[in-house]
Amino acid sequence: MRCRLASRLAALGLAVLVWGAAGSAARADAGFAARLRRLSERIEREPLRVDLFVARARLLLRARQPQLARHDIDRAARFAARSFAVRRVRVDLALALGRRRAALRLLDALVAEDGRAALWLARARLRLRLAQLRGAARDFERALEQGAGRPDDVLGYARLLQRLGRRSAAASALRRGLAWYGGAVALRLALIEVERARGHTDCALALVDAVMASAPVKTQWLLRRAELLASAGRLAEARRDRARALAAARAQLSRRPSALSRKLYARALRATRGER
Amino acid sequence: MKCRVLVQLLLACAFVAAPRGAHAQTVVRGPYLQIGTPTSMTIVWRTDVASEGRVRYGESLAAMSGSADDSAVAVQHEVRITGLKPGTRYFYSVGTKSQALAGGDAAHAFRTSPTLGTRGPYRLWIVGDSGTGGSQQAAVRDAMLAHVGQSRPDLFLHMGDMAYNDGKDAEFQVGFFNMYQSILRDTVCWPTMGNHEGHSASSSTQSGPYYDAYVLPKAAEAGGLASGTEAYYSFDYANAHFVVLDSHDSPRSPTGAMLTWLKSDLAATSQPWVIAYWHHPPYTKGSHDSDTEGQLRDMRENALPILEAAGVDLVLGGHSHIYERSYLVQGAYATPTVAGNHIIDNGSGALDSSGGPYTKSGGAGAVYIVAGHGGTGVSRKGTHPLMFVTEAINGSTLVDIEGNVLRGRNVRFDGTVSDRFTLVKGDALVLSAPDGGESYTPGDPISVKWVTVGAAVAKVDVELSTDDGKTWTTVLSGITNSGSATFNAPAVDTQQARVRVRDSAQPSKVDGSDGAFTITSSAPRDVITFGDTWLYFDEGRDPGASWMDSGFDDKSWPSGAGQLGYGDNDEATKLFDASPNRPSVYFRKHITVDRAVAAAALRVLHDDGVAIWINGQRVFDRYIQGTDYASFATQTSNDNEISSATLDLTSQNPFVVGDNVIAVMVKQASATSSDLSFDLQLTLTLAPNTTQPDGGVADANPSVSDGSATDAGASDGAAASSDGTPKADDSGCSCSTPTTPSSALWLALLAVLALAWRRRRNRGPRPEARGPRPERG
Ligand SMILES: [Fe+2]
Repeated sequence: MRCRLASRLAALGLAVLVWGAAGSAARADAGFAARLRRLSERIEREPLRVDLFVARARLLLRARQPQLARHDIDRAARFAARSFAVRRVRVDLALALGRRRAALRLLDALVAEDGRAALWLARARLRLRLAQLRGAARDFERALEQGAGRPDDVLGYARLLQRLGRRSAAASALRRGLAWYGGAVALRLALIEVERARGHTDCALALVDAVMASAPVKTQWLLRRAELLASAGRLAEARRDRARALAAARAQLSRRPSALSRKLYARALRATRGER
Repeated sequence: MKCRVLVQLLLACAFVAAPRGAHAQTVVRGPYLQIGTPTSMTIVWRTDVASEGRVRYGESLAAMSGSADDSAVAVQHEVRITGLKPGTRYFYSVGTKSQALAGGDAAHAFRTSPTLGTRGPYRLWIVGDSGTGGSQQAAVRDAMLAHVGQSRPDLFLHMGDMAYNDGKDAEFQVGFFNMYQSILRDTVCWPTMGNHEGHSASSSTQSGPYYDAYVLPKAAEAGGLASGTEAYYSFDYANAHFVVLDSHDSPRSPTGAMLTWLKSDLAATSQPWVIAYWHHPPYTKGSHDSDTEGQLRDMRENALPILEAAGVDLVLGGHSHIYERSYLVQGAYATPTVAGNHIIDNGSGALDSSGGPYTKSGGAGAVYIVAGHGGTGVSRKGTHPLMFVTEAINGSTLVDIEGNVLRGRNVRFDGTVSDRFTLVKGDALVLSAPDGGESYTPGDPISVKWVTVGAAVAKVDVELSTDDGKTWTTVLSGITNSGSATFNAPAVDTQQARVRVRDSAQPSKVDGSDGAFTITSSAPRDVITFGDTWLYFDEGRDPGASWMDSGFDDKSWPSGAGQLGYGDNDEATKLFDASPNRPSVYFRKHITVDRAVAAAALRVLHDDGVAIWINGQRVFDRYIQGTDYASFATQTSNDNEISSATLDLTSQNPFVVGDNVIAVMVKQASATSSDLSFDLQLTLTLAPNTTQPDGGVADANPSVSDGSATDAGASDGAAASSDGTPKADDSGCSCSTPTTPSSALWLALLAVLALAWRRRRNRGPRPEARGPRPERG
């Protein structure tokens, strides 16, 4: 009974602390304040709920209040030190405090116990920031094998592989990414560049053609095509695409007279003149 | 999506394991519409019990012969219908292969997107931060519905935070699906994720209630280029390209996948208008501050330069619980934001202001709107230097696009329209009135107003549609472009009237009403007004027992305009002032109605007592007991006392179709009273026409269609006088004194016209009735 009362008092004290110190964040975001209030009220009623402390810690981390979050995490750890959720949020706390190596140690332990993709992905991103490129590449590979991640993660992974000189693996990762992400343009552009660097002009051209077919305005893709053809020494075809690009750019400039249209027109014009 | 598949599989397993037919299956969410294109529509619904799904559809309720199936056994059904016609209305139902569970009625219908590049008009409804499920959210919704009447939005753009507090499935149900069901079933919603949805959903895995609820393009299914993710996407509608970004949970770096895609997507669009939106607004001082908060700042510093370089026209957001609308601005990416030289046009953008509408030349300039006022509590930190309008009041925003004219308005939760702006590209005529929601009765003058932007226009044509723009008839042809004109509402019953003004020399330069307005003869109408002419009998004797009957011969009675009487020096017609006073004076007036009278109200000016008969039936009296000639009124009235009454027509309706006689007896209070006064106003509501003209006045020439109407016959009867003079009352009521031959002739002419109209009427009234709410403020 006394223990329960003590924990209630402790929870209440922390709630007051949280309220007071998080005031500036709360003022910045009415939704944050309401959410914090609700969580604190629930913690007051149920001071033994680990998940509530973890939830509030996450909220406080989002509001850039790592010291307050630490109170909640320590509190939760007293009840469930081995809890996955508690240990996972401790990784985020370490990152928020700028302690990347500590975060990595914590993540290593979690990854060893639990092979879920999100953990591989988190460690891959962290290793990338720590310049542990090979380890990051391995983690990305494991995560992406399971289909996790955003197009950004595939892009990050492919860029990493390129930095490691593994163009073929980069191309393979991007192709898998394109299959997962429905032909995402960002991945397609990266793959075109990788294929060009590998000297696979036809592959790169096929990638350009596939997206160009559905683009109402084709200037950017025709220019890219011309560049690919020119770098492969196919000058006549490059010339033809530059001319098509210039016509497309001119039409777009009259239809949508924006800075972008002017820039693409100038690019097409330069490309056409440069060939003479 | 991946997670969604997993959920479906689990549900399928549950379905196989569960005993079937335990209870009747019901729809617990939707149906609602997603990824609308000119040729396809995705219909989504959720059932309480897992099953396969089927959509039945067709162009009429009687012929819903098309069907499309979702063969997965699941509770969440997502069926894409393809092979549809552009700009076409389809009715639909959802259910299983054996039965329809919802729809199959007039309320469940969608219109496919118009052909790419079509000039419109079309209407967007913009809502943000709405998802409380509370009364303010409902009020915002209802105010919009009342404001637009029949001219419902074509697209519903949601700025995020649609399911407070945590974007959980149950919160989606209350704060979004239940709240907007009547809209979602016929209007495609295109959302962006808010931070509150982000509490329970992840863009990284495209999972959680937000991603479960929506089916969004990621492979350019609705135009644009493939983003590869439902977190951010683009689509085309008519002549606009829409870009939807994820400011909450996707990387916002200039070299990240989202902004890399954005650059390519924008470079590939040929659409005249570009509209972009995401949750965290780049400029705000509402409940959030764009100078201090990361996501808002990232989007301003990283996304805006890309968008503005591509000539974005309108940027929308939510998150900040307020309505803010900017000037026409450009290039304000730095932090903190200052006005500097970033305001291209510091006017209001309103048509009626001295600066007039915002105009874009060379692709520069965009208007920014924060629409985070859709239902949750609003607040304000200050005034952002780029904002022309700031108000912390709940509401939503409507945007109308027609050709090269874009118009926005803010509709508060109470129906007040608190902001209007117009953005024009190039030369244009921009119509400002009638703008939708107005109500006229046949014969009423309709005041048309417009503004000329750019090159001068010498002559214009004014055209009227009574079928929501399907067909048009010229009502004023080649008139001088003065910015305004008036014509008279024709004798039709329609809730779908629109007006447009067109450059006579350049027919492609045209602009129309943003919404439909009403012309109805069933609206209350004053058939007798104060000052009208009456027959009178003041000879100091009883005119005969049947003097109040409709068949009484009143040909010998003189006539005079109201007010009639003596002793006050305010009379238009002086009656004989005898001494001692004559107890009673008599009045009669004939009116003609061509339809049953549904309601009647009168106001009578009297001094002293008065009794009123309609076709011999006594309907009203004041200060009168005996109605014989010799009786005086029971008491003295005030000078020019006015009494009002709504007549009870339920027990015995005294009105008849055709000629009706209003008979009035006015009595002195005594032989020595100094004055006597009489005038009367009668307001009738006629029963609505049971048929509606097909194409309104255009049916004088049914082959005339959009853009080519030059029908001289359109100016018949009630329509068109270019000098703005109202012509005859053709509301189905007319008043006359039978001794006036010219009026009788006019009546006959009207009768012939009315017959001609009726003969052409072949379509029933629209199923949806409405009461347009007049605009406040
Ligand atoms: Fe928000």
